[in-house]
Formats: sequence, C-alpha cells, structure tokens
Amino acid sequence: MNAKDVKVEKTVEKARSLKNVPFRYCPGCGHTIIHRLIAEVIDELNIRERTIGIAPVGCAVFAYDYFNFDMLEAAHGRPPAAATGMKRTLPDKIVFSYQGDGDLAAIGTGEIIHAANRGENITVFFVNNATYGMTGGQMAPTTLPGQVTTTTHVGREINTTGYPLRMSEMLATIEGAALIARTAVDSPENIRNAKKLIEKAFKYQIEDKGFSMIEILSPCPTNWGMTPARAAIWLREEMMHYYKLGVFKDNPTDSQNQTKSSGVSAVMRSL
Amino acid sequence: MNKALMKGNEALALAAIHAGCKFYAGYPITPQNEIPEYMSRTLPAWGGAFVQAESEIAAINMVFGASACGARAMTSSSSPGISLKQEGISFLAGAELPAVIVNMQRGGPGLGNISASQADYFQAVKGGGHGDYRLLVLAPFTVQEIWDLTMLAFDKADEYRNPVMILGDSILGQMMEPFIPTPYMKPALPEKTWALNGCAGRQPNVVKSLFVGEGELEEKNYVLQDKYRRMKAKDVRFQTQDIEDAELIVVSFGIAARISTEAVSMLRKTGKRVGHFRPITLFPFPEKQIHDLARRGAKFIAVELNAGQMVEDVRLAVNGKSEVLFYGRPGGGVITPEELYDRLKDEC
Amino acid sequence: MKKRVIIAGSGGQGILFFGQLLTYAAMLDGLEVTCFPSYGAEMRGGTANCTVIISDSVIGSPVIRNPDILVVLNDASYIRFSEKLSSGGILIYDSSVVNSGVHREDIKTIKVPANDILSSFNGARSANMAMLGAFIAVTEIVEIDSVFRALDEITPSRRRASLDVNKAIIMKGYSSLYDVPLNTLEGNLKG
Repeated sequence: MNAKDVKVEKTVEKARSLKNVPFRYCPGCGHTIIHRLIAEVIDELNIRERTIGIAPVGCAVFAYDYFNFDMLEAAHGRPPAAATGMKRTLPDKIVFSYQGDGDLAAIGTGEIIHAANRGENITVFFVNNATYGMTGGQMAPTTLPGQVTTTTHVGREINTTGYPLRMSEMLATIEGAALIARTAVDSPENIRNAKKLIEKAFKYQIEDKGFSMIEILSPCPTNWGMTPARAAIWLREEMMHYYKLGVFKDNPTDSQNQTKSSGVSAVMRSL
Repeated sequence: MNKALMKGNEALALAAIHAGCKFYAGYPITPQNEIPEYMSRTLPAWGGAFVQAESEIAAINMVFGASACGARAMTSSSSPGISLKQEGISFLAGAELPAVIVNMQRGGPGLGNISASQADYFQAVKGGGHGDYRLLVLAPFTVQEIWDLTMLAFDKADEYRNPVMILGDSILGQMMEPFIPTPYMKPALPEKTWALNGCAGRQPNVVKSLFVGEGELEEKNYVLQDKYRRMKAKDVRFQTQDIEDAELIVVSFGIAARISTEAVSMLRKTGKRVGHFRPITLFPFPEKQIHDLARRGAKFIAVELNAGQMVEDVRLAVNGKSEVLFYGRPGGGVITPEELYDRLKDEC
Repeated sequence: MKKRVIIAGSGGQGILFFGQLLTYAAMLDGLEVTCFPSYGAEMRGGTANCTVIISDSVIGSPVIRNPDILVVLNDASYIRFSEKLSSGGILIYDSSVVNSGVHREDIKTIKVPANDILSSFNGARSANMAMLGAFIAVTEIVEIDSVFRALDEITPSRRRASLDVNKAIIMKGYSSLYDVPLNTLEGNLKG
C-alpha cells in the first residue's frame, strides 16, 4: 500500500466520553490507553448517556476524573457488588467496573466470582499489571514468580506466597459467565484486539447476554523499574508466557433465555 | 383499621416495601432471617430487586450501588454481620448516600449467641466504621414502632442523604404482636439530582468518598458535621412515662424499655416516685431533655442488655448534675421485670 | 387480667401454629397479646416452644421465666418446663405421650389424652389442635369462635383441606374438657 492510497477521512479527536483534561498517569502506563479504548467504544456504540462506570481503589481510582459520564467510586474490591446493585436497579443502563489486580484478584475475589456466577449483566475490565501501583509496587496476586516487588525483595517465592492467579481461566469455568477473554496493550496489534473485545463485551451487555470480563495485561514501567519500551518487552516475554492471551469463554446465547431460565430446566431435565 | 399480626422482622420487611424500598441485599444470619426471606418472596412483585449476596460486605456494597442510582435500598443483618458491613457504611456516609441498615442484635462479642442483646450500641451511635461520621439510629420497642420507624428511616435517609440504622434485637425481630399497618405517606423530599442514572441532558454525576485536594476532605467533614447538628436540632425523639414527679428515672431503649416500663409500673403501684425515659433516636441522643431532668434533681439509672454502653451518653448528658447508675446484663442475658423491680425498689 | 402461657413440645408438632392461633384469637377478642417463639439453633435440637402473653392492658416484656399456664406435648418439655410453672398455675399435657412423673401439689394438672381425641379422625395427627381445644375449655382466655376465625384467616391456601378437620379436632378437644367441673380452677383463672 502506497502512502498516497491512504485517505484521511478525519483527524484524530478526543473521545466525547473522555473529559477534556490531561491524564496524570505515569509515562508508559497502560491505563491511559485502556481508558481511551473504553471511551472510544462507548462513543461508537452511542451509549455515553446511559453508561455508569465504577472506579476501583488503585491507580485508576481517579477514573472518574477522566470519564465523561456518570461514575461511582466504590470500596476496594467491591465494584462487582456495587455494579450488581446498580444494574438490578436500572437494568436499562450500561454498567461497567474497572478494576486492578489487587482490587479484583485479592480483596475482591469473592465479589467477582459471585457476580460472574449470578450472570450479572455487567461488564468488567480487569487491568492486570502484576503489581500494586498506587501503594508503591507491592506484590499483587498476579505478581510473577521471582518478580521483585517492595514486599518480595528477593523475588516472589511461590513456597510462601503461592502462584499468581489466572483469573480469566478461573472465571471461564463459571457457568454464569458469558464472555471471558485476556488481551494486552503492549503493541498496536494487541491494542486493536483489546478494543474489539471491549466492544464485544459492551455489546453482550446491551444484548442482555450476561456477565463479561476482559482482562487486559498492562505495563507499569514505574513500579517495574523499566523504561516504557523495556516494560512492553517484559510484558510480552514474561507476563504473556504465564498469562496466555485468548478468549476463554464465549457463550453468545441470550442470558435470559439460556443461562438463567432454560439453563435451570436443562439441569432438571438431565437429572 | 384492622390490626395485623406479624413477626417484627416480617413487619419491618413489609413496611420497607410500603415505603418504596426498591432494592434489598442481605446474607442469612439468625435472628433476622425472616427479613431476607420475606423480601425474596414479596419485593419482586412490588417492582423491586432482591439479591442474596455472597457476604455481608457484598450486600452493603450492592446497597451502595443501588442507592447511588437513586433507589431506596436496604440491607439487614445481626451483630457479627453488621461488623462486616462497617466498611460499606463508612463509604455510604462519606459519599452521602441514603440507605437503611437493620441490626437485629444478638449476643457478642465474636460469634456470641442468638439471644437478645443491646451490645452494639456503641457501634451504632459512635460511627462504627472509620472516619468522623454518624448514623441516625432508631430504636423501636414494639412491632408497631418497627412498622412506623422503618418508614421514617427511609424518609430520614433521603432527607439527610445519610445512612439510617434501625437497631432492634432478637426478641423484637422474632416476636409477634398485633399492630396497625398505617399507610405510608411520603413527605416532600428533595429530588435526587445527584443520582447516577445516565448523563442524558446534564453534566455527568460522580458519587465518591475520596477527597484528596488540599482542604477538600476537611470541608467535606464540616458539611457532614453540619448535617449531624441539624439532626440534633430537629430529629431527637423520645417517650416518657411518669417522669413529672420522679426522683428516679430509668433510661432504657428497645426491648430493655419494655422490661423497664413493666418494672416502673409495678413500683408506681407501691407508691415509689419512679419514672421512665425512653430514647427513640439513639443518635441524635436526647441529651438536652435528660440534662434538664438532671438539673431538676432526678437520679438516673440506665438499664441495658449489655455491660454498660448508653449509660455513658446518659452521664455526658447529665454532666455531673445528678447521680447516674447502671443495671444491665451482657451476653444475651435478658432481665426480667421482677429482677429489675428488686434492683430499683431501694433506689427510690 | 394477664395470662402468661408457654406451649412446648418437639419440632413438627405444630407448637408455633398453636401459639400463632392463640395470639390471633386474642387479637380478635380485642386483647393485648405478644407471642415469642423459639428460633434458630434452639430449634435445630428438635424442640419447639412459644411464649404467649395475653392481657387486658399493655404488655411489657414478651419474655418470661415462669408461666401461669403450661401446655406440654412431649416428655422433654415436661421435664424442662414443669418446674418453672408458677405456683397455683395450670399444667395441661398430652397424656398419650407424656410419661414423666414430676408431681407438684401447688398446681392444677389437666391430662388430655390427645390420641383418644384424634382416634375418630381418620389418621389425623394434629395433637396440637386437640390440645388447643382443651386449652380453650380449661382457661376460657379466648373465645372458641375467635380461634375458628383465626384458623380461617391464617391457614395457608395450600392447607385449606385441613381446615374443617382442624376445627372438628379443636371442638372435640374443647368438649372433652368442657364437662370437667371447672370451679376448682376458678381461683387461678380470674386474674
């Protein structure tokens, strides 16, 4: 393809679903990319005015400063519970939670599992950067074996701290979940893929297909102690080795017809 | 109007539904299981949503989400479960969200027992979770009052944008008693313009309890304190019996107040000048009224199903103007009217 | 007038239903009434009891230690509660199943052979209803008509079929005791 074949149809403009303020995340941080992708999809699906987002506790706690639609800031780990209360109260709204690895895979493990299991018709974005960013780089439940953090000075030792949790693989075993996938924001290709999955997850909610979670591997150069370029390489070589990208569950049937009602009667019939 | 006969727990659930509760989440724990059971049977038919949560923590956070969307929302539990909810209650207070939280107290500390207790008084009236906040705390003492105060709780929560606690106990929750199911009359309340329901035609709303800008949280706290002052100025509720000429005034709330009224009546029959003062709001506490009675020279005795908690607030109210005694039983021990009569008869 | 009643037996005997009917009937008679059932872990042990207080004035504590009237439907409850009955109180027990022999001189004891009462009702096991009939006849606290109205109002629709049988059993329990000379009990009954 020659350069002259490229037709510029529009210049890049900021998503309407983002407020006109600069991001204050660290250079090379994945949150800015992920925020932008979510905002673009919300614009493209034309759902900004009926979307309610939930910010976690962690670096993205200030997500409400950036997203230009209704936002709730919930307690650490509790966004899936808060989202349940919201979606059950306002079923016509689009409710999503945005959670980090400490929020979703440590303190909020109970909430995420049970929201998925109830097949709550919500969308969860799980940002996995293998560290506690906001508090200064302590071990996360997703920290890799041998990875140095401020609470694993000689590297994560699995005999005392266990193995990193693969949340997507776990949640994919849950009957109530409709869409579970892992992607990353380390390369243009993966960023495009992430956007596609984000769009798919929102569409599933719009079509009442039930619970979806998109796990996004995201670099944290600051707490990893790397340049952004080196962080992208580490993410690809180390994180993706342990956390395989892919779609772990995709059950595109209507949750109301399948998972919730006939799901039960199907079990009854098989007994 | 015909009387109805229901358990306290069931009357509470039905009153909540009549008051427009549209969301309930809870987790089973004795002695309040009739509340989630009743809600699960009845709330959906009234257009509300019931969720049996995976934990008390999840339940209170579901209420947090529903309330942020503008719905009248409630959760209920008993002592150990209320301890788990404290995180969420602090967040509700910090985000200035209305909610109704029911504590049908049981014996503690720890797993304790399922007998009647009032040992969560401190937790209810002094904040309970982290930070400088208060709940408006209502203490019913009959099934009728459970009905009436549950409806009031929803109105006050919306009026103040603050969580309201109904502090009962296992006897009040489990007992059946006839009551008049008076219809709910909704007062004029401000529109919930802050609610998260989609930003169509307006700027986005944010509901949060995080205020990190310089001086921002201090300002927020002054707003909260001003709210608590308004509660103290206009929402103190109490009831008295035979206090006009009383030399000894029994102060008790909830189930202990039922026991006390019986003992006071027995003493009155023997000519003793004894009266009874029953706080209905535990926060705001009727401190001015008790102080005025103390200045008149009356002696007080706080009677509680705990080791002595409200007595501290009585002492603060009395502020040294007269003597304050205490009689109580902790750990689910229930005082009998006869036992209290014996304790009181030589004090007056 | 103030009567403190404890009804006790084992789970599944309809102890709480007895208490609920009595409470509802007292309400229909315009009396003050409270009903406090056993609940939670206590019931896991298979026992059930219910405290009903009926009065013509406001009731304070719904929980009591010493009842004026005790209705007992099994041995364990007989052993647990009979010592707690107030002096001068009335003990009504199902003599078909209670064999224990705690004998007190300071109380009135009414034996109700519930199985005999039930024998003419094909397979009916509602000893609680037979005991309720006997209770009404002996104590005269509530009107039998009010108990029937209470039964009409609180029997769940899925159990409507049992309604007439239950009324008949209550009536038979009632008449079995109604012939007993009650004058000896009057001192206890007028509060």
